[in-house]
Amino acid sequence: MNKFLNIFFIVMVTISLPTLAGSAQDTEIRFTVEAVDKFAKEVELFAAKEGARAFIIGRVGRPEKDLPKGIKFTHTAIAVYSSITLDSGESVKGYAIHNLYQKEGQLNKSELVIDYPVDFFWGVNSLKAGIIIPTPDLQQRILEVIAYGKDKQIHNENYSVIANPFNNVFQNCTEHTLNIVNSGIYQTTDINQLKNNTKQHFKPQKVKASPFKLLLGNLFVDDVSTKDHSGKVYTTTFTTIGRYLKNNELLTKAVVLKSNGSTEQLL
Amino acid sequence: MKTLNKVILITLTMTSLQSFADSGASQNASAASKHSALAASHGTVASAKLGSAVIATPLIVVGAIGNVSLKAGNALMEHAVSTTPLEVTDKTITAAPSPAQIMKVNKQENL
Repeated sequence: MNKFLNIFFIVMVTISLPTLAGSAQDTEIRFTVEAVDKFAKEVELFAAKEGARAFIIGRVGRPEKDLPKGIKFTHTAIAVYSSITLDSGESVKGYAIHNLYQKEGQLNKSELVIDYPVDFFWGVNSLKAGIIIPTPDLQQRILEVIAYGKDKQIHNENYSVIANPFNNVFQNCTEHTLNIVNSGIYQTTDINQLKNNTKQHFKPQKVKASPFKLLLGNLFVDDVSTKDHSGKVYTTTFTTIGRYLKNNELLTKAVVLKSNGSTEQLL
Repeated sequence: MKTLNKVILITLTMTSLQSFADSGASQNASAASKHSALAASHGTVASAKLGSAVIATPLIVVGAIGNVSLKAGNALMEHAVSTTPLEVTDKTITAAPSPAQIMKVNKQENL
């Protein structure tokens, strides 16, 4: 009986852990192609109407009921108003989205990838976009960071889904976004300085997960680590970035845009 | 480990492991299959309404507030004062599939 339970335990933990890690890639479209295409363009047009040259964009990649308390978006990136050259040779204007994505087949590592709104929203669970528009002067500074490739200098490829924003041991998409914003604000790519400034002024989100779950994640899941935390686990979120900008008078608008065209305030 | 503890642990494992906020969601979608789906969606006007991006260059307004230097870098300078709404193409732009994705699709099709 004891032997049977041991085997059963190992099998069940193995089966259950992918849910913790979310290892199933969110690549399959859940809405019609037309709906995603239309929504992605609506997001672009909304930002364009606001005159946003750089804004922070968020998506919901998992069922909202499964998201931990206080967390509304699962992926965050920066959308940049750009001249886009197509394979036909034509140049058009629109938004290019600068992302940190986990590497396929190597989830504890990340890479910087540019994609476009329809790519960004392709596998979402809700046709809902988080839009944080910084003040125009901060937008310009964010543009400068990206245009001059400084975002690559502050990228750490070691990925943890619950990366601690106060150090550079691991980095996730949201922390990378915060690094870009702070690099623009403080005009530096010195990661130690950026982390010191973050400690002083940024308030992250406490991750409300059981110690048991965190322990399992640490042991069995490539992209979950608590090694960069001491005590309680705090991480960067889309909303905490919005609040950070608001508290420092660097925010023009923070909304959630829905597929019916309506918006609600994020903060 | 005591039997009761094991049973509790198994139950907790099965019931409590909800996803973390960002878990898995920072992964990139397959560009190749997306291209096909969008092309089908756009139908006969696909070539007119779809675009595969080769490069995106940030547009920076010269003279705007902020501290943007005018050195070269990977940016285009717009001399016009920022206007709203900004011009946005009505085309659907997608990231070009990576060589790996293209080869994967070709392999599947040849099977």
